[in-house]
Amino acid sequence: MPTTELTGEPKPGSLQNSGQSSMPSTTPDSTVAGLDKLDTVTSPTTSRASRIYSVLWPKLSAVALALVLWQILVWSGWKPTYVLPGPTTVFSQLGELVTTGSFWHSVSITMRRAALGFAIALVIGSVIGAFVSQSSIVRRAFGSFITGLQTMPSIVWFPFAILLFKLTESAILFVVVLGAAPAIANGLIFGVDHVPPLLVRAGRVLGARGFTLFRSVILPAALPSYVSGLKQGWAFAWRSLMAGELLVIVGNTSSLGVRLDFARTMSDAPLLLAYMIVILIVGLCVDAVFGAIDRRVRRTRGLGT
Amino acid sequence: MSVTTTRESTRISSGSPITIDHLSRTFTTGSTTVAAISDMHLQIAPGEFVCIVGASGCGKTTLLNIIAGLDHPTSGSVDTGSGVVSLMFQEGALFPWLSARKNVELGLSLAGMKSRADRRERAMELLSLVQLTDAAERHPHELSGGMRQRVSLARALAQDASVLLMDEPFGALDAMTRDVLHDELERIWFETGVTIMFVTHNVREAARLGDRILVLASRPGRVIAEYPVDLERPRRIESPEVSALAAEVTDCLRTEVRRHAND
Repeated sequence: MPTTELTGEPKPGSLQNSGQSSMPSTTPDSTVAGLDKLDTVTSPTTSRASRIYSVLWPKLSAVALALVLWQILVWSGWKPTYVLPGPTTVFSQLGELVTTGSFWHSVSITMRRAALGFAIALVIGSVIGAFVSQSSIVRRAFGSFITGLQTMPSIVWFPFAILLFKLTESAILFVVVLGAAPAIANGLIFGVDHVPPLLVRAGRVLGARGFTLFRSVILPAALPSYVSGLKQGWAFAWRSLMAGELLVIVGNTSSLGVRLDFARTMSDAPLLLAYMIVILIVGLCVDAVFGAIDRRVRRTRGLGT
Repeated sequence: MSVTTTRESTRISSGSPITIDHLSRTFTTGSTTVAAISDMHLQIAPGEFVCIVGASGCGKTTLLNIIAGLDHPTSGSVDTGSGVVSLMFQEGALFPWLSARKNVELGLSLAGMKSRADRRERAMELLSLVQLTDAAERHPHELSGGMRQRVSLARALAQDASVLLMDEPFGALDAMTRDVLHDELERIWFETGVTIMFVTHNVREAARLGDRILVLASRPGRVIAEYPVDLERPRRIESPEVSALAAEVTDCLRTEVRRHAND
């Protein structure tokens, strides 16, 4: 055993002599440093402005194309302009709308519901996902049930929700949660299922067991899929919420859905389309936030760009 | 200063002996039973550097799993004393969401180091031991294969293990990087006094590093030959002595593999 017979302090950097047998040499630091330098990938850095431009121009072109097609449709005279107004009319209507306080009040009501519903779905979906992913019995019992729930159009829950909760906020939230929670649970389950076994082994070697293993290895490894689940859950929540606001009119509240329905009742096509654009933009903005989180999570792990 | 303290503190917790006694492990799938390891005996001294070579099916992964406590023997026993056993994998099983430093810190935290500041300081000490101070904040995908294996080594050392099991840790690296890592590993082994069990397919690597080379037979795995390596350290992998010993071990291994041709 060389270690027991060696008592002298090793001298890093100095090449050994010291008569005795097993004195290991120390690596010349420059070799290590050189190899490290050569092996390190340096990605070309592009300026922020050019990156934003390269992301933005295809999107802006697509929007422009859609507006042109819309205008052409209007010009074709397929429908009278009081039913199908052109983009200029709708956007000037929208411009007026955003200056009114009542509009922002509506947006805040709807967004509060969306946030609350999504938050509840997040908690329920995550807890269910965690249990199902960790227990094979629970999975056999509920696994396909969750997927079944996810494929069910959430609007079919509304009659039942109205019976249960009358025409209240709770009826809307109930359906929003039912719409979003399964997607979130499934995202987590899928992520946990696809954690590389090697990482789990590594975690166990380091001494992690049970909940510690789940929290410090499995959950972070499953995060990319979980975030995808959240993104999908948001899409379901937003759809369910809009359906709910059109079907369940809660007294004395003027949410975006209520305003949309009101515009239809008044046959105010420009206003109706303006609200639809608002709903589209809100959905896209929140989706973009999840997209940014998703990209960040993936970039940290070296998964794509 | 800090480097000196590292050395002293790690030296105190020097290696544990490994005693493997009548170890057998069989796997049963349906009606077929396969013996991965059969009646293995092994005695490894504290602080010894043992290299294990064997062809496919010699049960090396099973053996390492059992010593690391990830699997249980069917019969017989493995004793590694009271110390911690660490295992290093072929591909650095680093956590891709954590930087090099955080990977090491997680190892420290799971080993029971409570204070965040202490963890940070110790992680930086360990990274400087593997010469990666500059790469501490990089994520695994931003590191080369050799650098990743050095982070894995630092993380394994974070456990303050008295036994370090290595499963072909340098198998996927190019020759030059591997040579450098041999020097590094030898230095760290010398400084820490940890007991190392190093599994490899590369017989020269075994002759370069080990105090002793054990040759395992395949199906079922058991020790068939043992070569003490009485060569002075530091050795060079291309030296005639290392080559001569490697040739001898390769012959033994070849005979063992041929035996299976008529199975």
